[in-house]
Amino acid sequence: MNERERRNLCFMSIADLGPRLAARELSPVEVTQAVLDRSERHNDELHAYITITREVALAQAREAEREIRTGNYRGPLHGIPISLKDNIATAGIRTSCASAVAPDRIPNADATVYTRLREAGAVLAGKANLFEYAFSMTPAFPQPPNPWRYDRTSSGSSSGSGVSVAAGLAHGSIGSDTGGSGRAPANVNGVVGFKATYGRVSRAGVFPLSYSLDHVTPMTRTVVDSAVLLQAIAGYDPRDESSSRAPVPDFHASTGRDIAGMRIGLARGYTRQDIDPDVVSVIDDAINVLQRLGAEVEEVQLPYVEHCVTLQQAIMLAEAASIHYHHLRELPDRLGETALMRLDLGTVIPATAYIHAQQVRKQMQQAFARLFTRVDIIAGPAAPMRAGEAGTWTTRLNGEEIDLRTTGPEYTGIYNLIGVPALVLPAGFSSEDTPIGLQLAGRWFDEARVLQVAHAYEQATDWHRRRPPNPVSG
Amino acid sequence: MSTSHWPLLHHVLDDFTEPWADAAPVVLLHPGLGGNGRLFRAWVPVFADHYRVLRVDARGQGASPRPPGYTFSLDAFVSDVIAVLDRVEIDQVHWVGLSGGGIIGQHAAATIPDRIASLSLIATTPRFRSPRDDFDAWLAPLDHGDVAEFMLRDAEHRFGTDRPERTRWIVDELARTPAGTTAELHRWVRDVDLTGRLAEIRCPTLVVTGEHDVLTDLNDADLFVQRIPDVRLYVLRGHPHNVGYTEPRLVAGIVRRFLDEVTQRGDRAASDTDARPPLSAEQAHAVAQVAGLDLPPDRLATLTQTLSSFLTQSERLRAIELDDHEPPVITYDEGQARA
Repeated sequence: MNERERRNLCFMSIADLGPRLAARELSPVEVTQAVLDRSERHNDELHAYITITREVALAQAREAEREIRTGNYRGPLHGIPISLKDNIATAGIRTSCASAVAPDRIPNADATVYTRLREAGAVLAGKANLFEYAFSMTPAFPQPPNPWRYDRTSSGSSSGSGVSVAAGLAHGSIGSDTGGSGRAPANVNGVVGFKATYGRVSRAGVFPLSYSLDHVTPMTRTVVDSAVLLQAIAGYDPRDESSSRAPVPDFHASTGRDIAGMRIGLARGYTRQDIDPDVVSVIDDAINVLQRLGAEVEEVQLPYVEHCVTLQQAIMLAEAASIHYHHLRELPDRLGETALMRLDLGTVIPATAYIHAQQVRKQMQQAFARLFTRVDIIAGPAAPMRAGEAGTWTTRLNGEEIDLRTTGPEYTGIYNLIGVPALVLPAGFSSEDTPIGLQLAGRWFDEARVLQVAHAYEQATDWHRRRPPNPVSG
Repeated sequence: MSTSHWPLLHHVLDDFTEPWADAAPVVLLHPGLGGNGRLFRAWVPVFADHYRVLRVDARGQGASPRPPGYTFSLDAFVSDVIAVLDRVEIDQVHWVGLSGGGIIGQHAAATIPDRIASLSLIATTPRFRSPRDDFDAWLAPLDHGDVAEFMLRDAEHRFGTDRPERTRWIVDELARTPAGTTAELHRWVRDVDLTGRLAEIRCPTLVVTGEHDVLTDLNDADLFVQRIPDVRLYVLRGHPHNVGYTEPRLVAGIVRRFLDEVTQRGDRAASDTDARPPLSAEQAHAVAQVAGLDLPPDRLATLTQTLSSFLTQSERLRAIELDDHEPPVITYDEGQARA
């Protein structure tokens, strides 16, 4: 196999790779070796991984090879290298949370999602980079550049998950998403990020940012791959008290169905004026595609969107501050600037403001339940702007400087507040050649319909077939 | 500009706000050429809880009389509205103008800025263009006295095709204005050009336009966006010219949100300066100490800012009345997935 063929192996979809591994046309060891080599060669420039788990990966790949050879094929993830965001506990393997607070922590138990991926036969390629504790940046862990343009951000907090998948350093990844941390990097790196319903995927062993907002998120290059990863990790887990006993359907089965008559509510954002024109045209084009596929589109306004910033601040920061209280008091010098700023505020948010926010949130969920009687899916942008400059929290939008921490809640965080499934997939590019995604949200526990619409859109377009120019991927 | 000496326009002021509270802000709903205030009936409840709603029939249209000698002009139309405002003792209105009502609204906002708190321009343009090359042929049905034929031959782009009974009702309302008057209004509006005055519109402005509008187009919307300093644009996909009449709740909802934002902006500015003074560093220090943090000066300075701003924002959150008071446990009805 020459260099180009090995590279192509790294960019195959899980759905294409699985059957070839099952048929023993390819070996898990061969695939894993290609991914590890590519990751190691480029990690100095990409910082996609905090730890590349070569020995573990090769041992798991050999085991997968042996199992498949002896007729013990576990399913579509068997022998597939994936990355895990480095806030997901892996027993015996460093789990840093990208923080100088405890950079060398080695957990003694696996997170449930990792256990389930192992049961499905997946191979751990490495622990992916992230924002510090999923919400800050620290010089101790430099962030990955955007593989489509190195001077642009790869966003976060699941930055390494997004980049490892986009750049062919893993066939899929598991990230986390508290206010958009999985969907925002999917949006700017040109991959699929899918936050399922709150309670659908266990968070046991995933270092918490905010108990009532945290979700665990598959990140992949295609919609079907997203369904495959979600299938493996979804379902009740007694270790997570928020975990739901709702039955888990066959997610893959919903992809491939047509979407004629599907009622789609178009949520452009606060006002068109506040959106990058490139984002507007990508979303317009995407809506045209959905209409051509038979969807009925009406414009909708998202209830309570104007309160999302305050709601997210009150809830996320108060919960995060309670989690990090001792870090804040005892090791403040090890925390990044944003972590300090946000945790200081979280520590003094009045309890009554927090509780009121939770109550308003419930009311907001009821308003969305009413909206979801009129539409099946809400479609719109995942952010009002294109990928900003690397390494900063601010960017320019239509000539004005904006703080990214205030746009997230209105575009992605809103679906963490109400807990419905929300998926971002590639839908076009900005004039600067950075990807722009389309976000689709559905009813609680209706992941199947979100996947159905996303897959129909994906199959009608070819955005998911593009590869970023960096590192060499042609 | 002076008030009109002509007979007062027909107008209806609906007020369902709390009688004991301060007078609520006023939304003025101004119909397009040949229209009347009745066409806004479904708009009223969208605003009624927080706004007074004033509907007018413009001169010679609907139930407003047109005395002999009255010549149509932008100044005359605006003076007519001023006369109504003076009569009902209203200083300032949030002007919502559909089509021709938006043209008059642009003139009002540029000419009497003190009386226009905000401007919502629905399906309108700064300069009217005939949708047909032959203007007189286009107006011929009106010249023959047939409003319905005039309106219905562009039915798809004026009203959409999904609800014929709705179209019939709107056309019946438009036919309350004599066909000759509507024809004259169209001949008048053809020469109006407000593009040079858009920069004088200083109030917050909302532009809403239907994608399939036959009488205005996205180039008009672009003109507004380029020239009006404080403007936001909403394009309604697939909707026709008279979207304000065909989808009253949708469009009124967009305007309502815009007005809430504009009026709250005023409230917020007031509350930032009056009601809630910014936290002092000493106060922030004390609060942090109670919570167990002993902050160095730079963190304290940041916290003073972020906490001040959070407390101000959370006042708005606390102003939301809750429907019920069940415990804050987040639960999901899994049945919703199958709804």
